[in-house]
Amino acid sequence: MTHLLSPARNGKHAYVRWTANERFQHWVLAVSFILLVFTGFALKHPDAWWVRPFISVPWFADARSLLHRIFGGAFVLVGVYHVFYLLATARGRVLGKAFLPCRRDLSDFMQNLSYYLGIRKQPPTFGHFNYMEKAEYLALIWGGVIMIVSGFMLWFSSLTLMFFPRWVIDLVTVVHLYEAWLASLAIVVWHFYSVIFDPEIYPINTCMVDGRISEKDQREHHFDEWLELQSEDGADAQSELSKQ
Amino acid sequence: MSPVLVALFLIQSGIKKNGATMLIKYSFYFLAVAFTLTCSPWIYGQGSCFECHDDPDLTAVVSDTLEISAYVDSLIFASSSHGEFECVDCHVDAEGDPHDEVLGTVDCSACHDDVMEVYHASVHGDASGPDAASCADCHGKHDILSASDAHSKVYPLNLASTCAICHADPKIVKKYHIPIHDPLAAYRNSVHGIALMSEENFDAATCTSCHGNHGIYSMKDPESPIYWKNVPETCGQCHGEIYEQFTESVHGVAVEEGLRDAPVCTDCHGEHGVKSPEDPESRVHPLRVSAATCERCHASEIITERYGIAESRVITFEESYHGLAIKGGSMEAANCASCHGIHNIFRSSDPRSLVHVANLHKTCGNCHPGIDKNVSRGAVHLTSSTTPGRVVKYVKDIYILLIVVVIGGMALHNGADFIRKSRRIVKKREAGA
Repeated sequence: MTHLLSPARNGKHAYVRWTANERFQHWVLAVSFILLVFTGFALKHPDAWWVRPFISVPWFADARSLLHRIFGGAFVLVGVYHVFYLLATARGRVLGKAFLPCRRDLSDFMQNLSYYLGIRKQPPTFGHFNYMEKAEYLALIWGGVIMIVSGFMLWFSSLTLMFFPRWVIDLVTVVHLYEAWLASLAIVVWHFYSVIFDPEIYPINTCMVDGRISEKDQREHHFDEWLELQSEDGADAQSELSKQ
Repeated sequence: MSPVLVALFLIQSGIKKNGATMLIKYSFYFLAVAFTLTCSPWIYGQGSCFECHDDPDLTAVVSDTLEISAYVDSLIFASSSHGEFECVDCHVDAEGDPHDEVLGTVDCSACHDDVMEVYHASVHGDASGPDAASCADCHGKHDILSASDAHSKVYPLNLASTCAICHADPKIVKKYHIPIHDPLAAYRNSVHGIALMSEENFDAATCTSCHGNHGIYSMKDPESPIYWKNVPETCGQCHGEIYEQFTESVHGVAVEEGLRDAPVCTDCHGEHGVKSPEDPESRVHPLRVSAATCERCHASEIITERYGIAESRVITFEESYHGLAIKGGSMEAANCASCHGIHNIFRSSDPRSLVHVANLHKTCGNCHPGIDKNVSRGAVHLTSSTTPGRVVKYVKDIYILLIVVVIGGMALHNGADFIRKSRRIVKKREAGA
């Protein structure tokens, strides 16, 4: 089995968790997502304080609508590329499988809840992706598909009307809006917590910048995977342990 | 003889402008004065009035407390449109030379009887107060000129300022309860005011175009051109094609039926300050028409209930993509008029209506070329009184519930995580210290 983790080339006690390709996908997604949120909610809330300064610019309305489609296009392209990446590359296929939820995730979730409630003394340990990361990834896929489909239906409304009565446009508008709220709030409450506000992470997790995770972080956050690596390369692990 | 005097005056002033020698200039003065002095009895008949009245210091004592100037500039009078008349033609009560009595008010009806008849029935002629505009207040006295003369107080370019002498005077406006305080201020920046006063387009409306001139009546008077029911016809004097459209429209028919709730031109466009629809300040500008104009009636519970007009038209529009894009400043997005028409608005059940089920496809096609006929199926303004409207509402409610549960769950999970991890870190730190 191909490993999702490889030792960092030029650093000690670190692994490469995300390849440059994956980081590139993440940041294209992140930038287009944020700009889609801005240009989208600016339509819904033209009176908001963060829209007001732009409204007086005469070409803002047209620019906003054009930019939303451009960033939407970028979002779609990175999504399509991601699907290609998952299917056509060896690492992508392994990565895709690693994201799939399994029975273990449910028990991890239950154990973690017990830990939060004080029933268990220790939190569970995790593999390459914990249940929080898997949930977020799958939610992103789900939300992304809904946003892309509803977005295209609104963009090409004439085409939509060839198959549906007009009220479906209103339905799709509602779906596009509230799915956007769900996605934006999930990013703030879920993603920003795990990469910024988590007390063990704060001020920021830089893994998506340089792709690296330290030996220490790997052991603390992805213990099972760390252990797996040690048993496969017993000698190395022994020497590492004896050093500490 | 007055043309001779005018000629002298003009030659004199012309030479002055050209900077000719003082000698020539003063000889003309001398000639003019000599001519006037020697010939005036001959010009004005026996006992020339100007022997006395051409003196700037001449006054008449009206009462113990009131002394007025009795000076009449002979040159100005001579160049007025009445310059060829004799003083006594108007001042019929002047007897003796000189006369002892202070003369009474001149009665213009001696010549202008038809105009005076109209005037006396008007709001100015009817008013008993001394402030009401008399003939002289608008036309002048000895300096009276034809309305086509550029120096006349009623010349189109000067007229608004003449009316404003009283109508922009806060004291008069307040005293007589005139509802519109300074129409000139609004008019000056209106499409009519700009066209007339800045661009000198004499086709543009001025005060009298809408209000009449000698026969100005209160807006309450059914005879008045600004009586609400007469407004479309008044505007139609110039905007004939629009008037034709309007009279056939649902609004025009309602006006004809006497429903004061129905809009006439001014209810949407404003009156003194009427702006071009392209002016961003206009209430019918594409970005403002729904919120500033249509909403006033079509979002009014009283009016929609009274006439059984479909409700929630404005709110459903404002929440739609079109409405939001308009609010965001898009000039492309459809406003009320884009679909319903402007002056040619009909009930949607009327085959002439642009939103009639048979025409809707074409109307939408104006912006969405090649749009499918499906667009005319079902309601456009979707309210929860229709099944699709309810479906949309349920989906919205489910989404809100989903957001509360999912995001709330996330917040609880991460809140607990935060508390747990913080405690562990604090404990670790304490153990370390």
